[in-house]
Amino acid sequence: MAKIVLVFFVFLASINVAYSQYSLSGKVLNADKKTPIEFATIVTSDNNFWAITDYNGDFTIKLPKGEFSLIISCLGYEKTSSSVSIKNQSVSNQVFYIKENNLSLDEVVVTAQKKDELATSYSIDRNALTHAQTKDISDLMSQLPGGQTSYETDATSERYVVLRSDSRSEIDNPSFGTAIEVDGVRLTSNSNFSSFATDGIDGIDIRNIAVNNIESVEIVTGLPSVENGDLSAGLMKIHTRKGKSPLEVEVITKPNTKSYSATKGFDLGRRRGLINTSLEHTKSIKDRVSPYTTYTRNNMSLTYRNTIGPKSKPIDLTYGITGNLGGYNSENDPDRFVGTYEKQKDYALRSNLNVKWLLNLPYLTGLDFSASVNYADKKREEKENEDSSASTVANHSTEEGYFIATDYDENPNAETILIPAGSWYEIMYNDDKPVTYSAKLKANWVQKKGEFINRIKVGGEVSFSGNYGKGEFYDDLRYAPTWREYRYDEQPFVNNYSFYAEDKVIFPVFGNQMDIQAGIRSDITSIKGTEYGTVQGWSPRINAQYVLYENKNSLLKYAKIHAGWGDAVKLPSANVLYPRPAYSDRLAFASTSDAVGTAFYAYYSMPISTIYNTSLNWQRRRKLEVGTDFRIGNTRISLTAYRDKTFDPYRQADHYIPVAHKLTDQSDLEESQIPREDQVYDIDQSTGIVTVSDATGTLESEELNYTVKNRFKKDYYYANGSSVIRKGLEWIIDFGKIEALKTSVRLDGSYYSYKGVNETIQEGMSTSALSIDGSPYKYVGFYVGNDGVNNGSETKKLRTNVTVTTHIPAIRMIVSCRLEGCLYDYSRKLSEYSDGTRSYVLDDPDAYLPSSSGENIYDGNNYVATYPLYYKSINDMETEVLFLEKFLWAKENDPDLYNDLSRLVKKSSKDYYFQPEKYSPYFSANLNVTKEIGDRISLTFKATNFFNNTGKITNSQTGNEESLYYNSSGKIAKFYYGLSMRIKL
Amino acid sequence: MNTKINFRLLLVIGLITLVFQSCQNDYDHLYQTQMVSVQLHYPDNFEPVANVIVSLVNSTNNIAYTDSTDADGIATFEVPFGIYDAAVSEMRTLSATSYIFTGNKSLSVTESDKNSVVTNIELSVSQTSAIIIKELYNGGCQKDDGSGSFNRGQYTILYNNSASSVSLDNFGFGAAFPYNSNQTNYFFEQGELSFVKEGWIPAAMGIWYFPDGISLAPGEQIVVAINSAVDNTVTYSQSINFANSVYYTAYDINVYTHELYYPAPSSLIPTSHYLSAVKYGSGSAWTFSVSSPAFFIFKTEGETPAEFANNADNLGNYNGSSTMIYSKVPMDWVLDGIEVYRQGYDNQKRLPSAIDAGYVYLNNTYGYTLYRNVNKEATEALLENAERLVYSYSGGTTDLVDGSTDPSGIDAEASIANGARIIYSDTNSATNDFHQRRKASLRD
Repeated sequence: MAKIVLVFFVFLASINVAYSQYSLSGKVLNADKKTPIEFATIVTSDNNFWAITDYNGDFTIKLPKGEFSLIISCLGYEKTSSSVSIKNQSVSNQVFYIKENNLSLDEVVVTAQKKDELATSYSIDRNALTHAQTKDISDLMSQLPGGQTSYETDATSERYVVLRSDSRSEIDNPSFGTAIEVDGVRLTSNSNFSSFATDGIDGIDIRNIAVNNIESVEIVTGLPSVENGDLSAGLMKIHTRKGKSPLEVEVITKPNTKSYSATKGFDLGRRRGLINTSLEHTKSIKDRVSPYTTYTRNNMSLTYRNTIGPKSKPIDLTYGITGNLGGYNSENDPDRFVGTYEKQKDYALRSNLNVKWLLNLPYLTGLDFSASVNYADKKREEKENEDSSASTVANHSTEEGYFIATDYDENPNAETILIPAGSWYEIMYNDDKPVTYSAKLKANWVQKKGEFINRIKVGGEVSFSGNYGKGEFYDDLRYAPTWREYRYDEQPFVNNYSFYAEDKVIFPVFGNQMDIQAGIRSDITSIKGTEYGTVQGWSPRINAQYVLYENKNSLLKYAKIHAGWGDAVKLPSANVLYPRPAYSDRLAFASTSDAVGTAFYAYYSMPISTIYNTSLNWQRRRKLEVGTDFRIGNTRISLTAYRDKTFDPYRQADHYIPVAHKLTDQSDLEESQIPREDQVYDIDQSTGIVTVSDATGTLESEELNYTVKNRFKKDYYYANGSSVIRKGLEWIIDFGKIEALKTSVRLDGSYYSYKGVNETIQEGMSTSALSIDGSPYKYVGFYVGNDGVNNGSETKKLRTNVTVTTHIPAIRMIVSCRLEGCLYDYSRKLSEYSDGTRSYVLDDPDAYLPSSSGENIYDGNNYVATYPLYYKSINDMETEVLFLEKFLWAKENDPDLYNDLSRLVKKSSKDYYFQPEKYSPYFSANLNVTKEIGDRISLTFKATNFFNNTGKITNSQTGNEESLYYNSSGKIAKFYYGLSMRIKL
Repeated sequence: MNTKINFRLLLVIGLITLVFQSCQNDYDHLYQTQMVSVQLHYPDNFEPVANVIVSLVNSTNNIAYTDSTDADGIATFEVPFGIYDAAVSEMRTLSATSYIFTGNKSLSVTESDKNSVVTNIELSVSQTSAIIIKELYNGGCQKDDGSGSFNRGQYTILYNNSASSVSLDNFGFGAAFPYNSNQTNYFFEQGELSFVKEGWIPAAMGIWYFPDGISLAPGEQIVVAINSAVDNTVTYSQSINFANSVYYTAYDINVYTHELYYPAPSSLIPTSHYLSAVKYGSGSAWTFSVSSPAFFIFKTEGETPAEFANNADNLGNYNGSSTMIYSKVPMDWVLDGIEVYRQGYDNQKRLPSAIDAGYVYLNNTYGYTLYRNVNKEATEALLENAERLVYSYSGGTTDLVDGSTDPSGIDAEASIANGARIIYSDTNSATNDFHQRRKASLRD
């Protein structure tokens, strides 16, 4: 297949017919010094035609006939726009002057700007990143409209990015659905085995991405082009620095974090290309008093860039490599017990190659190819001390059956080991090395037919994710606790393939420009050995924009409307598709303890693995967006309204299976005639019958009696939940600069509403509970949505920020003050069932039966009980008994059944549980100042929540007042500050 | 000269005669006795019983006279003239409750009392349980390697403080919420424990109850290992060795399965000594505070402990939690309780004053135990204890902050080893009744 594609492109290349018969050539010069600028990029606004200036600042772009807007950019210079019109001849001697990027420019932007793209997206450039003292990329969420500064100030716990969502805990996995790319390399969590505990559906921890080397970030919250897939919430694209630059050293100091970095862009001379290097060291401490809980990041990166090939068919080549060494080590902490420690590595290696070839052929305008490798080493090592006064058991069996715990010295390979009483050290290792290989190929073709310009994109991606780690293991099996080997390197790779095709058509309608972009993408995931086989999902998307009005000279400068509709399919990760076994161990036999604390135990072990769910669908987020942008005088206004519906969000569901095992306890053992000191025990692996024999051989062996325990074993599977609906409105109003005051005001905000209620059936019971007759609990309840009091929630938030920026070019200083306000903060728990009632009001907290008043659970303060819809008994798994009617009957007729069923009733802990939780409005203000001293030194000072707001807000649910100071729900940012300094050498 | 000598001689003889005369009169007085009749008056509708010992002690020469009452509560004495202290102490056991009747009176018996002296003594009664908590060891001890404290190996000792045998059928024990005395107590409403007016106290998470057929003789104790019923001293030398065939243990592998809290009990403890549990809260071990529990024992009436604890109508959710469940034990069933306060913290009561009006401080993790004080009067009043009591008790912890010792000064364990029968103090207030003992009695 690959061979055919290669031959086809070689064939096309051989047709040396220059389609773009005209050219634009000229020079790019430094506006102040009038010197030529090498490695400046001139690109048309749709990214299809580009050129890079040479040593003399000269460039030539091949273009077809038409009007083009151009963007001229270079590292260290202000991005400049221009336009050119090609009528019937080439244009030459075009000179572009670009200014150095510093605060002496007239226009400096330090906020997120809405991009002029069909899908809602925002871009944040280097000035804004520096001015905001961004510590890691999750801080960038606060730059979006209505975004608020995060409460967390140190990097000692994992950080995630969630877009178009309020919190990571919303039921459709928003952090799993947020895609992050660095220089085109997608960072994926598909082969993250060690996050098994958090049901395997989560995004990536972004802490090991250094910020100092980022040139710009683009955040797409709308419906991205089909070029980007395997996402549902949004996309964050990070572009690192590429270009010639002097040595720049930066020092950032904040109370919990210190960061040092240096970057330089070397010109290898004589068209040999450019090398950008960057070094960064960051140390973040959780508690300044005990500086042993820290997170360290040591980042090195190297990027080589060159433009090769003929000027008419340039090839832009970039090769980059980034490495990170860091992590956490508590070995020297004097507060820990002697000899114990915890170490966690956070090593990463990312390498990528990008090739962009501007072919200018009749049927092919350009070709983009990229390949990347992403490797991380997250090895964890923990040494702990343990002690016990009696022998304990470690289960290592991977088969089903009864196993007697054996002394390590007798049989080091026994399935179940008996650890004697005493004290010892144990070292646990978790060797986790996720790796991803990926490659992308894209072809684009620009074609003009009369008034229609077509830009067709076709491409494909492959990626292979796996893990080279050994998984969790112990160095000494004599003392290792209950554990089974699960080698990550023996699990199959997750292979993702995708293909897409998109056409963007630009044509005039009533004299104004209309853009329509429509495409379709197919995402395919395949894992060897999974019962799901090869899974596939289609994502069709369409975005359109229409310029209603455009006139540079009138008051209304332009008015545009845009709309988008489409699907984003997020395929499941390895944890969902490929079963990972877990084990259930139950005591089957216990003797008594002898004088040194040795007792004999046998356990019944049973593997539990994910059940294959034949009807699992892929999570799909259908987005609908409508927006408008217009400019009146100097004021730019943009409004976007959206409605997203997520279909089939992934969720982990429990399933209970009846299982029986035999328990032989001490009273069964007491019947034996053999004296305790001569007893030798053995258990049959399949029947579980214990035989006790006489070590001296005098007395005969005896089989002991037992009791059969019928219980439920918890198994799990991945299923889909009910749909989640989000609606919102985002706005940015940028009042223009008031020249006299050199100040501009920006108002941005968002209204966000979320409702997620799960109505799919969820099983629930407590496997450690007992029925009143002393046997393990016999009933399993089938609840609507969730075996808890509520099965969903709704949230509504209205947030708005006012940013006042004063920029004085003469003294090269920019001061911005941002007031963040949350005007409406509402959330409410919901218990809904479209076919009936799920929860009932109780008369008092100790009651189990519904109140006869028939009140609604949302009216007033009431204790509420949630009943399962139906239940099954372990003795009869075929019959579904409707719960409430049987429960009411049992109250009068069968007290034992009533007492047993009462354990399935879920009651609210407070009488205000279903009351709305509304907070009174709260505010916080940040102050940022950046000052350049001469051409070489720049300082930024930032104070977060500088009023140190200690006001109180009222929580309508409890009626309590909460202080905003160090508020545990993280309503406003903590009072914090930081200073950074950059020196150009 | 003869006349002078005769007069002096007469004077001397006269004086000697006078002396002899008065001596003879006094001697006659000393021999005179008087009949004294002591009538005991019982409060609160209690009836007098026979064979209650009343003692009259002459306050001058400390000679004691004793007599037993007849069926009408009258004791009669024949005593010489003098001033006497009458004292009576009777302990009576009805079902599982003991009543202690005490009375004192001072009376004088003189010549002017022509007929027999009748004196009435009004008795006051205090209710005590026959079965009481003699010791509670819950604080744990230090591990040998210094890596922290070993919190398991907790135990309690119950004791028959009365004069008759008591059966332990339907006896159980539990602890109240919150687990520790310094935690927020959600039962407080306007400064009062809300369950007092409803007549019950909460037993958190689950209860343990004794197997049928156990009976304690007067002065007999029963040791119950609450967890880790093995010889813990093999690994932790400061802890307790439970390998003893007379001990009992709260081990029910069908209910609580946590392997560190419930290792297989020592082979010396027979399975007939295993208690049974009813679990209504969550968890694989019975949660019992290692610092400051509110521990109590109870006896159910009209149903077994298992029937009581399995009934959903007797259960409630602590602070609305779905995992922290308690059962409502009627106050009438509760025999004895101990409120332990956590040393160094701000504490709040969990048990009502009818069960424990006070508290005792425990400084945990050092192997200290809470041991009951001796009731000095009642113990010394027992005739069988004469010459057997050991004094100069030094096992208290008054050298520590909030430490305490036994005010009676009697070394109870040494006295018991000597054959004495101790009556412990039971005023329903841990402030008076308990002290923090340096060493657990099982380690003596």
